[in-house]
Amino acid sequence: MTKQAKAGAPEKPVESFLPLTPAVFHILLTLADGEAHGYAVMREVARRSGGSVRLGPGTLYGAISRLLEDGIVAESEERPDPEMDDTRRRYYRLTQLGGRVLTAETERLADLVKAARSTKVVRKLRPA
Amino acid sequence: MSVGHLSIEYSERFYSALLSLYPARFRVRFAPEMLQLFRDCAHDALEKGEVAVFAAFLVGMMRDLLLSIARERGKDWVRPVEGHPLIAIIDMLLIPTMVTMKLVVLGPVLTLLLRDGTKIPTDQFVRTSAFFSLAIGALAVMASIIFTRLRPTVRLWVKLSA
Repeated sequence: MTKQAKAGAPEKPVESFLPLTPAVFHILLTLADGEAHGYAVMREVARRSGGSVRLGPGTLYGAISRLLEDGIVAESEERPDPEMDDTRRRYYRLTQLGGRVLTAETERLADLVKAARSTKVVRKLRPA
Repeated sequence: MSVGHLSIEYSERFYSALLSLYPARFRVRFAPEMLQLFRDCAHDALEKGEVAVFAAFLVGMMRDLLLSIARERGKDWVRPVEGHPLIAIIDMLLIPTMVTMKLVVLGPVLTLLLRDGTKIPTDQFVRTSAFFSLAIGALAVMASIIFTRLRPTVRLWVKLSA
């Protein structure tokens, strides 16, 4: 059974989780909008990335397994209304640590873009 | 039952069998969800109505599955050994042993075929080699699946005999 992050265990610094892979970054972005099950995450990641990031079940659940272990996401305890959804599905949500990791990664990427835009080559190539 | 639904049913069975190749800790937790996700995606692909789309979907799924199995198995090799050392050793050696067995069997067979190369037409030689390679590869995968299925029994036996 996959180990969940232990309650009360010392939390690792947010920076130790960075950089995130594109797949993990997109998964966290999707969960930042609210809890979702695997199929919803997969569809939302494909939509959000314009089809450039396509997650298969193996990649998706491999990433979720690691995120659960690190305490970045957690399984949602609230079950959806059985009439509205399939109760066999498990829902995942972003934890507080997950929110901090996502924010830190977004800031890191923003800094990178800023640094890249300050170079002559990128400035020249930028559309007016 | 339509051809489309039959394709989904058979591909689902195949996918489900391959899920057995994941380490137990991962399989127990995620295999039902992965199978459900595969089913949803298969229906999506089939709705597009083209054989090529469904075939591309299957190839993509198999690629994703095999890479993911390798990743999860790799993680287990570097993870500190848990549980009974005998099970851990069998776990670690299973796939390398299967691959080695395949090479050990295939090597002499190919050598024998090469030695008699003057008598055997090239196409027959290639066909025979391909057949042996595929058959032994399939046996290795089957053995891995059977062992994974039997693992809880082996674990219980080790516990009882300890």
